[in-house]
Amino acid sequence: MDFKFSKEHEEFREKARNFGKKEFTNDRKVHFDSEEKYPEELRKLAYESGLVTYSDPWKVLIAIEELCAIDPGLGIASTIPYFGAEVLLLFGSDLLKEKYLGRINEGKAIMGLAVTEPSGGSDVAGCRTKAERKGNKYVVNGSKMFISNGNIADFLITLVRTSDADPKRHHGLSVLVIDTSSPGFKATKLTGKLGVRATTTSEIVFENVEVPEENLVGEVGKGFYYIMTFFNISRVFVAAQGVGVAQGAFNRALEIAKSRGEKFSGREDVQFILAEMATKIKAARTLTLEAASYLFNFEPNPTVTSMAKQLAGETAVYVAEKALELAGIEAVNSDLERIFRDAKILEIWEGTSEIEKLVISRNLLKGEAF
Amino acid sequence: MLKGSAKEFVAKYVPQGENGLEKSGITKDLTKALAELGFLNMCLPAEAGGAALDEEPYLAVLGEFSKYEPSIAMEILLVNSVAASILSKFEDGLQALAKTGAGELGFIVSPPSPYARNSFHSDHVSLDAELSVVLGNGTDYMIVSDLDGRTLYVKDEIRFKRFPRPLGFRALQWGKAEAKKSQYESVGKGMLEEAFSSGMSRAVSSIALGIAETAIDKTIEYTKVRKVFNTPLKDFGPVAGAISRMKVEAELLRSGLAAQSVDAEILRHKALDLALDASRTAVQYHGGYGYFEAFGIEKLYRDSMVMKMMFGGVDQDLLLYRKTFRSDSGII
Repeated sequence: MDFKFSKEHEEFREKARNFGKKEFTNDRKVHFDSEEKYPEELRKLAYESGLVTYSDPWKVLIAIEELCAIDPGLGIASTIPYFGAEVLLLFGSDLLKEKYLGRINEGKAIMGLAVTEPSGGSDVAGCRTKAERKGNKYVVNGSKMFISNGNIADFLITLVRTSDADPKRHHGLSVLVIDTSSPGFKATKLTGKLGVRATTTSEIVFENVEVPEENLVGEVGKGFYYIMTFFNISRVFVAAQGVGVAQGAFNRALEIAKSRGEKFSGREDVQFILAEMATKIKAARTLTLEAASYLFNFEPNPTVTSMAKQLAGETAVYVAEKALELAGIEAVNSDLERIFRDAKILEIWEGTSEIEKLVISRNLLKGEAF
Repeated sequence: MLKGSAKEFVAKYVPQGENGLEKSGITKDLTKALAELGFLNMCLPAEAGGAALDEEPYLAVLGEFSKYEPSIAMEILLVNSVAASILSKFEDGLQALAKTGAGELGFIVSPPSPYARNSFHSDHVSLDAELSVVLGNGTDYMIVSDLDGRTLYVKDEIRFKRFPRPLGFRALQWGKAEAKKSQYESVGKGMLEEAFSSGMSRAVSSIALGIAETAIDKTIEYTKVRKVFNTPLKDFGPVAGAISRMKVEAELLRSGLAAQSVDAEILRHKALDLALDASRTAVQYHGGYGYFEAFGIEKLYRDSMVMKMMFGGVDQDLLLYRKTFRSDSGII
C-alpha cells in the first residue's frame, strides 16, 4: 500500500493550488457568491489550464480538493462542466460519445445530470418523468428539481420512466440524452441558495420534448442501474469536495489560532479542537483515496464509497462550524462564513448522509466486507 | 398578552416568505413601530421612560419574536439588555436610552472580543477608533469597549460601512465603523463584556431556544408530509429519533428557562448548542428545499451559527467552567 502520490500528481496538485490562489481572487469569491452567478470565465480558464480533464481521474480528484479548499463555490463551479459524463462513457453508444462528449472534452459545451424530481428527493426509483415511444423518437413530459447546471447545460443526461413501475419501482426506468435547445424544454434557475452560489441549480420542465431514439443511453429499462453506477463514481468526487472544503476551513482556523498568539493557541481546549478537526480531515481524505483507488482500478466498492462520501460531508460541516466558533464574531463577514454556508450541501447532494448510511448498512448485512 | 402582540406585530410588519426582513432590513419605521408597542423600552428604567418590567415577560417576548423573525428579537435584546445596562448609569446616557426606547435613536455596538481588530486613540476630549465588526439598528451613537476594557459611549462623528451579506441576523445593520474626533464618555470598566457574557445569558437563551423550537416544529410538520420511498419521513427511525430527542431537550430547556433556579450559564450553553443542532438537522431533513431561502429554514441555521459565534465561543465556555468549579478553570 502506497500512501504517496507520484511526482507528477504532486506537481499537478501544486499547479491546481496555484491556479486557485491566482484566479479565485477575493473580488471573484464575493461577486459570484453574492450575485449567484456562474463563473463562465473561470470554467474556461480551468479547462485551458488543463486542470479539468478526464484523461486522469486522479488529477480530477486532486483539482477538486485543492480548488474547493480555496473557495468551494468557485471550485465546484470550475470542475462541474462534465457532470454526468461517466454515464455516457460507460453506457453510451459510440455515436452518442462522439456527438456529445467530443464537445465536452474540447471545453465547448457543458452538461448535467437530471435525476431528482420535485416529489422524489433521494428516491431515485420514484421517477415520474415519462418518455413515451412514438415512432423513432421519445416524447418526454415531466419535471426535475435541483438540477446542477440545468440552465447552462447544452444537454442533460436524464432519467425517465419508459414503462409502468409495477411491480418493482426501479424497473421501467431509462436514460436519455436531451438537448436543452429542444422545443418544450424549460429551465428555471432557482435562486436564494444557502451556499455554493457560484454553481447554478434549476427546475426543469419537459413539455412534449421530442428526443431521437438514438439518444437512448444503453438499454431500455436499465436506467436505474446506470444512475446507481454513476453515483458510485460521482460520490468519490463529492467526497473530495468535502475533504477540500474541510481543509479550507481548517487552514483558516489554524491561521486565526496562530495569529492570536500563545494566549489563544496555547490553550488546550483550542488545541484539542484543532487536533480533532485535523484528525477528521485526515480520516476523510484517507477513506476518499481508498474509495478512489478501488474505483480507478475498475473495482468500485460502493460501501467504502458511501463511507467516504458520508464522512467527508459531515467533516466539512463539522470543521466549518468549529472554525467559525474559534474565529468568533469577527468572522461574520469573511471567507470562513462563506465556507460554512457552502459546506452544508455536501451532506445533501449526490445522496444524503442518511442514504449513504443505508447503502453502507445494507451492503454489510448482505455480507460485504469493508 | 405580549406574546400575542409579538405574533401580531410580525404578521403586520414583516414581509412573509423569502426570509422576511432580510432584504429590506429593519427600517426606522419598523423600529418606531416596535417602540410604539412598547417592545423597545420594556426593561428600561423608569428614569428613561421605560416600563421596567421584570424578566419573565421580556424572555417571553424575545422567545416569541425569535420564532418568527430572530433579527427583531436581537434588536429588542440590544436595546433592553445592552444599551440599558450601559446607558442607565449616567445622565446623558439616560436621555439617549429614553430616545432609543422610543425608537427615535438607533445605535451600533461592537461585540466585545479580545481578538477584535479594533484600534483606539483618545484624549480627554475626543476619540479616534476603528471597529472591525459592529451591529445595531442605527448610527446615532455607538457603544464599544476599548483595548483597556473601558466601555465607551461614543456620541457623534460615527462613520459606518455596511456589510452587504453578513452570515446571519441580516435584517440588522452589520458593518465596520470609525469614530473621528468623536465626543465620548467612559462609562466604566468591563461593562460591555459583562453585558455580552453573563449579563444577558437568560435573554440569549430565550432567543436561541425560540430558534431551536421553530426549527424543530417546522421539521416535525415537514416530515409528516414529505415522503421518501412512498413513506413519510417521520416513519424512519433515525429521523423520528433525532427530532424527538431535540424536542425533549427543547422542552427541558423551556422548563429551565421558566425556573429561576436553573443556572443561566448552563441554559445559555445548552440553548446555543440546541439551536445549531436543530437548525442544521432542519436543513438536512428538508433536503434541497431546506437549502433555499424560500423555505425559511437555512436562515435559522445561519442565525444559530452567529448566536454561537457571538455568545458561545471558546471564551464564553470559560464562564461555564468557572460556574462548575467555582473558580477560574480550563485556562491552561
